[in-house]
Amino acid sequence: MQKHFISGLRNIAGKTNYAGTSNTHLPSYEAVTVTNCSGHHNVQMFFMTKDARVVNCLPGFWNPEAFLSEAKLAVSLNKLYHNTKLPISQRNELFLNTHLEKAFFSDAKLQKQSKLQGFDVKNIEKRKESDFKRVHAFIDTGLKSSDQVLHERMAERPFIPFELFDTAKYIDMGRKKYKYNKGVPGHEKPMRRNRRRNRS
Amino acid sequence: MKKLLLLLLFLTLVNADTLKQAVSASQVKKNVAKVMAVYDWSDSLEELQKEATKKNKMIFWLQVVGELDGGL
Repeated sequence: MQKHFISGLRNIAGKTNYAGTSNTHLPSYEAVTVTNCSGHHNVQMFFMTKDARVVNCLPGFWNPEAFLSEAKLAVSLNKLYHNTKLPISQRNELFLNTHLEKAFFSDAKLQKQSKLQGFDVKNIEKRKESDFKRVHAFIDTGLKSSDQVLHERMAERPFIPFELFDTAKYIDMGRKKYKYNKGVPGHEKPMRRNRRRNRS
Repeated sequence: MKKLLLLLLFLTLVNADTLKQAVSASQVKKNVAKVMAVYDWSDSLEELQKEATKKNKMIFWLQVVGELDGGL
């Protein structure tokens, strides 16, 4: 990462319409594994050319190996962007093909790592239309994994400048807000169901 | 529901091999400190563009709800 990138950080809490809400996860807490793209409204990682054109974007938390694979893809797309021997139209076409190939050839391991969380699945399934829905010959055959969908979405956005990148639409992978019973250790808020039980 | 894993990101930036399963609280603390020390996190995309052009490097831009070293 240090060889190819310089890094920037922005706290988006209350500053964008797509920022989620977060429970408290202090650096002194234990951390556990979640599926890729979990927390899509709370974390977004953009890989950009030096003039801030987005070549890849990962919403949410990511498995380390998968993250590095995506970073390498970004580096190759950066080389493509700067390859002035090719006309812009061809570079755009190769950008599209690269992302679609990545979506199409997503392996079983990565798809397993990139399954939507249960509440996001419910949210997507309720929608009339979603690019997560896999339909063959008018038959619903389930949902795509989040890695597949993000590359299909990137394919539609060749070398888009960051300020024009429609992040809200891009990171829409289910619910924006959810509740769970975690927080500062020792000060967890009881779930509504448990509060009722405690009262009775 | 599963707890969110903030440190997947941090460890990715440090060393992909370090993370297999859950990470202990003490290890998380160390990793956060390391990531904050090793990387120079600019908060200005405009400045980053200038620096990236100067150094001929790409930009990694991270957006989070919260602070890396102050809690998400």
